[in-house]
Amino acid sequence: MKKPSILTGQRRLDVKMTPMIDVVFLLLVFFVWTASFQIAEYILPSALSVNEGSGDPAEVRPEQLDFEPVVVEILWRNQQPAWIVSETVLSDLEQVRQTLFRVAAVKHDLPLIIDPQAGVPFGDVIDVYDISQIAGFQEIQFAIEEI
Amino acid sequence: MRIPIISTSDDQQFNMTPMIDVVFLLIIFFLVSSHLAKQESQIPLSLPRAETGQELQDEATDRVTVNVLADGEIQLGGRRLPLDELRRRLAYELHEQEGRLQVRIRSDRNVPYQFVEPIMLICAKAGIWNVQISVVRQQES
Repeated sequence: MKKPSILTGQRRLDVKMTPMIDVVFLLLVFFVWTASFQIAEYILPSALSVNEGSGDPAEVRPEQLDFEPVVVEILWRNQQPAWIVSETVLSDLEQVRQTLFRVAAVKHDLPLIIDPQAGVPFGDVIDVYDISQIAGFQEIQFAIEEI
Repeated sequence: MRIPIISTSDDQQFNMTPMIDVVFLLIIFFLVSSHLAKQESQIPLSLPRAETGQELQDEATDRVTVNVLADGEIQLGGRRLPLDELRRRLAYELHEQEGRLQVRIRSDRNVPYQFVEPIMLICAKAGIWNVQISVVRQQES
């Protein structure tokens, strides 16, 4: 009678593939899932956060400020944005950048107010906000009109 | 007849494979469930581009995310909200959090400013000064 292989002491050296494939697939799913395919988001702290801790919303009136603020108006004409910086009409964002950099080079602690028209896309508003921050303006505010 | 002793000390091995299987399944389960919990703030939107965007930080302050969709629809907690309701909800949240509330505005970049402006106005009037705007970096978008 042939003895079972277990009793003979001979160990079979066959590699079981199924559990290995299980684990490999689980690892694959794990790494695919954890890899982020989404574009990373960042935040821009808005001007509203400057007044943290104060009471009622302060109504900022340009004539009450110590310095004349830089007002950047953003217009929406013929489906195109246009900018007015210190009463100068600019039609190119690069011109806005240069103007704001020139102003900031003279005095960067001036308050800057962004005043967009109602139809201006939010992305264009953020473009000006971004340029203002790069230029070095420390106090950037949004003009908000009462509904 | 004598019964053979099958289980020798040589065969007493701990099989790790099913345990690893289960552990990985649990990890994936928790990853999926936590991912679903983040869905509110992850509505796919074409966010504005900015170079000066700062890294997101897990702050202790409670945060409310207001989404503004491409058609101007305002959503909070996955639900469409009119402005009056948004005002009430933010005032309630501010009261619940004892004045420490952070509002994050996630707006589509093509939305006219007139749809975002009232949200800022509501925050300012409610006394919520900690308002952030979600953006993506220029080179990553």
